[in-house]
Amino acid sequence: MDRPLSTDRTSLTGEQRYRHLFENVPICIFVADLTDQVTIFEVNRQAALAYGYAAAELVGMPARRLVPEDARTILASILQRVRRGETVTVESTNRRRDGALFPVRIIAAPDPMDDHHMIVAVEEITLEKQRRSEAEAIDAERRRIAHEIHDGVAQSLAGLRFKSALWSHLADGAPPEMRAALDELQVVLIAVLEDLRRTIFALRPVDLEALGFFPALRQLVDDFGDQNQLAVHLELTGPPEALPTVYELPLFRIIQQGLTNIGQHADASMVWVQVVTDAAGRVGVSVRDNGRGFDPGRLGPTDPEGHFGLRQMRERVMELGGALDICSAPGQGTELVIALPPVANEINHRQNAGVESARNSEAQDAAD
Amino acid sequence: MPPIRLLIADDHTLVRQGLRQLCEGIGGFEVVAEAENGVQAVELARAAQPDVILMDIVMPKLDGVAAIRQIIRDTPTARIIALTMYREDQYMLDAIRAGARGYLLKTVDAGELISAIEAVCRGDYLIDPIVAARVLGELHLPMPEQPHNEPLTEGEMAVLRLVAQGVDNQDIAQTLNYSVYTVANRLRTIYAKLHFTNRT
Repeated sequence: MDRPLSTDRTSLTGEQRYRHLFENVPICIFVADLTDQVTIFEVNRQAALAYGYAAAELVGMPARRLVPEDARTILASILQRVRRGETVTVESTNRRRDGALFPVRIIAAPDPMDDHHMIVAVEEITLEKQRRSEAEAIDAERRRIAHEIHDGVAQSLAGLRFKSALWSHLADGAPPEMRAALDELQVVLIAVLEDLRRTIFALRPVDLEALGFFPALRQLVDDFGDQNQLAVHLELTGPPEALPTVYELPLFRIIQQGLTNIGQHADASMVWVQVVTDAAGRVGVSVRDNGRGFDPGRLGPTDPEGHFGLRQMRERVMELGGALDICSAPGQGTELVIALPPVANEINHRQNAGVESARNSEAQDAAD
Repeated sequence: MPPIRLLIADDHTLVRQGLRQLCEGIGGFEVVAEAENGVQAVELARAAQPDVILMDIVMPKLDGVAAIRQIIRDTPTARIIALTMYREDQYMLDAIRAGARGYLLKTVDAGELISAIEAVCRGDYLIDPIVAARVLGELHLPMPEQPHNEPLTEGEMAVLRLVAQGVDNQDIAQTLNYSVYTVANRLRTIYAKLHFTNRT
């Protein structure tokens, strides 16, 4: 890696320190003029690297060469708005030297030091976009599967159940064993339909964007109560806006999974869901029931199904850098407690690779 | 007594078959028409003039709620029961607003199904705690674009509250010191108001 020879920051002059920062910040930075040409005046190392040019080649180049033709109106509108003194944030597409296109988030602002330039930060968002479209694809697939179960197999079983009710009726004078067998068929069909209902609930996609996290959670919890005929209490403590956006979907899924587990295993009559946020950005969640409980020490091969649900939840929590605790004992109900740390740096969350390299350089700094 | 004439509207063949066999097999019912979508349901309701219509909500071409609305427009006295798979399926309340006299889950017990159809055929409304609870919930919500021009009276609210708690007609009558007929009448008005609110 191209690190300055001296790692002793205090020995750098103020000017050198800012130059160092400008060059090494892992975001492309351009300074460009405000003429119609948008001529590039200065770039940092990340910009040269990302676009595949030498820094010297970029200086003096009209910015439109980095922008594919169909995205040039965006460039023009950025220019116009910055000329009016606005700060602009947009997502667009840029082009590398080899012609490859890549998605970017552009933040452009007037240069406060002079009226003729703007400062433009460009961040490549390929990974973020990919993750977003993966999440959308997964949601669409969940929706499709839920729909297929609801409108396919569940309906057929319901039809079959009507038939079996008739068979029970017709078997009125038949040997008692036959009547009993047909009654049992009905009971089994109803039980399967109940199972499918839980599956559909667990697969249900979340309309977080339309509703917002807390209203969506309220709806989820209420529906869960309706569906399982039990009393639910949802309590929110702390400022709702303190919940980091990146936690919303995973947290929603974790709570959904927790409720599904309660529906399947707990035999509870009451459920409490509590979400606590604080100004520091920490998030705590508790999902508690008054059901039959279990011995958390005996979790494992004996209960593969429950184990799987918990494992998934644990994985989701760990991906967020949080911790999950299970407090339970036979006959004592169960409480899941989830603690999530504040989101320190949004970039770290967007790209795991970013987290990795940040860790590496920290380690390196420490080693130095 | 002549059999109760039924129209069954559901896009799932097996559901239609099952319902037909069950109702006809148990006796007292004759399925005079089967529709596999909402458009057919509207046409057949007009052509066959059934005593009671069992209407699935989610159907192709025209959904059950829209079909109910059209049938009620043609024949305001039509007696319709909405059918849904699960309690949490949406549009239950919409179906009732459109003019259904209640709803049944497809997991309903055979005895309950029969007595529900018979009750609706007599002109009654089915009571359901969940629907009542939702109606109560909605009355508390501000609904700017759909004002309730005819609010429920105190007496009607009292009945609705008890229904929401799962109390049956008999016990509601006892609790409120009404006759069972009064309770039935109150329910009728509640349904009528719900229904008309949506048609303004």
